[in-house]
Amino acid sequence: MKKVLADRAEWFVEKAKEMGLDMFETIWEVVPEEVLLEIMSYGLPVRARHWSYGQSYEYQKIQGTMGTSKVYELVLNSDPCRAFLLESNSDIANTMVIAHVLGHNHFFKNNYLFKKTDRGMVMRAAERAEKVEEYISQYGIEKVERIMDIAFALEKNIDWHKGVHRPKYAPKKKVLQKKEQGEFDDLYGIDNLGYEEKIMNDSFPPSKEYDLLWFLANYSSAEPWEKDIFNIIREESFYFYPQYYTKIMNEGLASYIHAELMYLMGEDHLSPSEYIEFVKIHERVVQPGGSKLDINPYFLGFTILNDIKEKWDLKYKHGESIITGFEKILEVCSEEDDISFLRKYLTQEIVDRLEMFTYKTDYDRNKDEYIKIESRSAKDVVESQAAKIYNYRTPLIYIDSASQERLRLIHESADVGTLDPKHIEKVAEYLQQIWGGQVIIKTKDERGYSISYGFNHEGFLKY
Amino acid sequence: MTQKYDSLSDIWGLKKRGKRDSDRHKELVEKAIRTNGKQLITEYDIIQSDGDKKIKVPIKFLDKYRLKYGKINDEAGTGQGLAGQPGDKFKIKKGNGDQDGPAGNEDGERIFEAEITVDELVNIMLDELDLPWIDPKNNTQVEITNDEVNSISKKGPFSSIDIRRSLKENLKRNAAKGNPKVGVFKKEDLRFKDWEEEKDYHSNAAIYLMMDRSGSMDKEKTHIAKSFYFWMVQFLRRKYKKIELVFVAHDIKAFEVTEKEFFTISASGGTCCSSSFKFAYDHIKTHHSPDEWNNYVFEFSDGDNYSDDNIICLEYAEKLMPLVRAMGYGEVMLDKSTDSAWFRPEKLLSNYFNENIKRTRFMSMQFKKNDDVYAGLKKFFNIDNSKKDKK
Repeated sequence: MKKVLADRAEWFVEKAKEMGLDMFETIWEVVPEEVLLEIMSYGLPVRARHWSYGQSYEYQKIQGTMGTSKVYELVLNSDPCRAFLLESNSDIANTMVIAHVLGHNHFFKNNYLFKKTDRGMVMRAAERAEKVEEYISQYGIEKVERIMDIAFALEKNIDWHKGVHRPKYAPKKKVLQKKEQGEFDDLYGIDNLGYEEKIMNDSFPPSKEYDLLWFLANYSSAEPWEKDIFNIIREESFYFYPQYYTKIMNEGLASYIHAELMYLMGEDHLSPSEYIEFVKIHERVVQPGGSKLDINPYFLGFTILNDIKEKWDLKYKHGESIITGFEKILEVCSEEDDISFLRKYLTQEIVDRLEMFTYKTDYDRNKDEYIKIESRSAKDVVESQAAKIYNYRTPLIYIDSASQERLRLIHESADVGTLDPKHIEKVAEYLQQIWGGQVIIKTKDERGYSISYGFNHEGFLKY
Repeated sequence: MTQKYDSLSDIWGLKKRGKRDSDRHKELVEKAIRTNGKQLITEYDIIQSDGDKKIKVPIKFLDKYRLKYGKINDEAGTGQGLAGQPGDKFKIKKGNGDQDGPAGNEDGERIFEAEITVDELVNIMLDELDLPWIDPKNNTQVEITNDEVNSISKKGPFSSIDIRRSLKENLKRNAAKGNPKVGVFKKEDLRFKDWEEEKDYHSNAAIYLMMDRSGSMDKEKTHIAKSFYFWMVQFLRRKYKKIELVFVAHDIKAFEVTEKEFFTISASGGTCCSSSFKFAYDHIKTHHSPDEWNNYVFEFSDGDNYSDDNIICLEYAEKLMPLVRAMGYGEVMLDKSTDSAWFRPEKLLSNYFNENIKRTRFMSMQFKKNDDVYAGLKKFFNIDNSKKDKK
C-alpha cells in the first residue's frame, strides 16, 4: 500500500478508537480489478471450487460493475479483518473506502449475529478448498460437483438459532426400553454409526428439523467425503447469514463512519480539491439510487442512523437519555438486525421524507408492465422489506419424518408462496439421491390446495 | 505500517481461480447445449444469425437448483423517491436504466446467457448429431483443393473407366486444337473412377429449399421449416466448398424467389407440391448436372395438397432420385391441424411418399412440434450414415 494511504489508515484507526469504535486489526491489500472481481464472485478469497462461481464471475465481468468511477469496498468478516482496495481507484476514493471499512469492521466485531460467526473463516475456507481439490482428484469433478450442487440447493435452509455446532439428537428413554433397544442406541448415540443398521420410527426426527444439511450430514448414508462437503457448505452459509440479515444497518454504519472520519480528516489533512472529490463520491453512495423500485441500503441505513443520532442527542441534552446519539447508534448496531432495526427506527416521518412506498407489479391491456402504489405507511414498508430479508428469502421447509423408506418434508410457509416447480423437482431428486427410498415434499398449489412433490426410484411424481 | 500478515493474493495466487471456474462453467454450458439441442435448434435468435456473429443463448438449464419460491402471494416491492397516492399507477420503462447502487452478495434472480458464435454452436450440434463428415478421420477428405484431380484418377483398372469424363477430356483436347469433336483416344484422355474416394470428392452442392407458401402455411409452420433449413444449410456448408441455394416458393405454381421473400411472402392459393418438385427437376437438368453438383432437394408443406397432385409428386420425386444425393419432404402437422373434419391421414403426401418410395436417400416425415426439427435433421443426414454402415 502506498505510504499516503497507509498513513491515512493509521490516522483513521486512531480517530475511530477515540470515537468509541471497537475494531479488529485490519489487513489492507491493494489489488487489481480482476482479483477484486474474483473475490466478489466467490464471497471469500478462496473457496471450494464450483462452476457457479465461474458463472457469477462471468456475470460480474459482463455487468461491467467495475467502472473506474465506482468505489469498491471489499471487506471480510474476519479476525484480523481483511480489506481489499482497488488499485485503479484514486487515492481519495481509497481513503474514503478505508474509513468506510472501519465502520464495517466495528459492525462485524460487535453485532450480535456476527458474534456467532467463525472469524477464522477466510483461512478455513481456503484449507477446505484444498480438501475439496483432493476429493476432486480422488472421485472426479462430476461427482464432487454433483454433491456441491445438492449442498447449494439446501444451503439456505439452516436453523440459525440452533447454531453451527449442535449435538446430535438426545436419546429417548422410552425408546431405549423397547426391544429394538440396541438399534436405537445407534440411532441416538453420539458415535457416528452407520445409517444402515438403523430402524427409524415416526418420531424421527424428534421435532421439526429445519437444518437440512445438518440432518443429512449426520443421519444420511452419504459417504464421509460427501458429508464433509455438506458440512463445509453449511458452515459457509452460517458465515454469510448475518451479512444478508444486516445489510441496511451495516452499510448505514459504514457510510456514517466514513462521513464522520472524512470530515475530521478534511479539516487538516485533505486539499480542497480532494475534499470536493470526496463529497462527490459520498453523495453517489448515499443517494436514493438509480431505481425507484428498489431500496439503496447505504442510503436508507445512513438516513435512519442520522435520524437516531439527532433524536438521541436531543434526548441526551434534555436529560432523557444517559447516552449520546452516537452511543445510541453503536448500541443499535450491536443489538439489532435489519428487520428489528426497521421495525423500531423506520418512522413514518422518514418514509414520507424519502417518498417510500410499497407497490405491486402488473400488466395492462397492451401487456406493458406497470406498478401500482399500494401503501405509504411505514408499517407496510417495513413488512414488505422484512419479507425480503426473512429466512434468506427461502421457503421455510422442515423434515417431518424420516425412515429408511421415506423422507418427508413439509413446506411450512406455503401460505407465503408456492414452490418453484422446476426447482422443487430437482431438489426432490437431489434429496432422494442422498437419502434413498422415497422423498416427499408437501406444500400448497396456487389455489391453496395441498399437493406433494415426490421422488423415488421410478422418478418424479406430483400428486 | 508493518505487514505482519502475508498478502492473501500472494499465498493463493488469485487471478486464476475465476478463469478456471468460468472455463468449467463454459464446459458445462456446452454440455447443456448438447443435451438440450432439441430445444435450442429452433431458437429464433440462432437461425436469424450469421456464422461468426455472437449470439446469446439463454441457458436456463444451468440454474443452481434450490428450494425457492415460485410465485409469492401478495408480493409487494419496496421503492423510494416516487410521489403519488396509493392506487396510482406508473408504467415501467424498460431499458438500460442507471443500474447504480452497490451490488450485493445476494443470490439474485438471473437468467444466464452464454455468448457463443453461431459457428461454435453449429459445431457443437454437428458433434452431437454425429454426422459422418465431421468425423476427424474424414476431415482430410473434406479439404479438397482440386476437385478434378482428386475425384477422377488418371490411372486405374480398365473396368473402372469413367466414360463420360474420358469423352469430355478427349473433346477438350480436340477442341483446344480447333476441332471440337470426339476423336481418337489417347492415354491422357482416360479418366478412371476412384470408387474408394469418390464419395466426398465433389465440392459443389446445390440445395433446393422449397416451401409451400399457400395461405395455410402460417408463421409457426414456416418457423419449423426455417429452422430445419437453417441447420441443413449450416451442415452442408461444412461439407462442400461451394454452395448454391435455390429458394423455391409455390402455391399451385412454383417460382424461384430470394431468401428474404422465401420466408416472408405468402400466397392465398391452393397447394400443388408437384409444382416445386417439377421446378427442381427442370432446374437441376439445366443448371446443376449431377456430374458436377451434389444436389439436395427438400420440400416443406403442411400436407394440404390436392390428392390428385400426390401422384404427380411421386412421379417427379422418382425422376429426381438419380439426380440428387438426398431428397426429403417435410410435412408440418401441428397438433391442431389434425382436428379438422377434413383431415384424412391416408391422403397426406407424407404417407403417400412413405408408402411408395423406400429408399435410404429419400426421407418423408411429419413435423408436429419444434422438437421434431432435431429428429428430422438426424433422419435426413443419417442417410449417409446408414449407407456407410451397410458397406
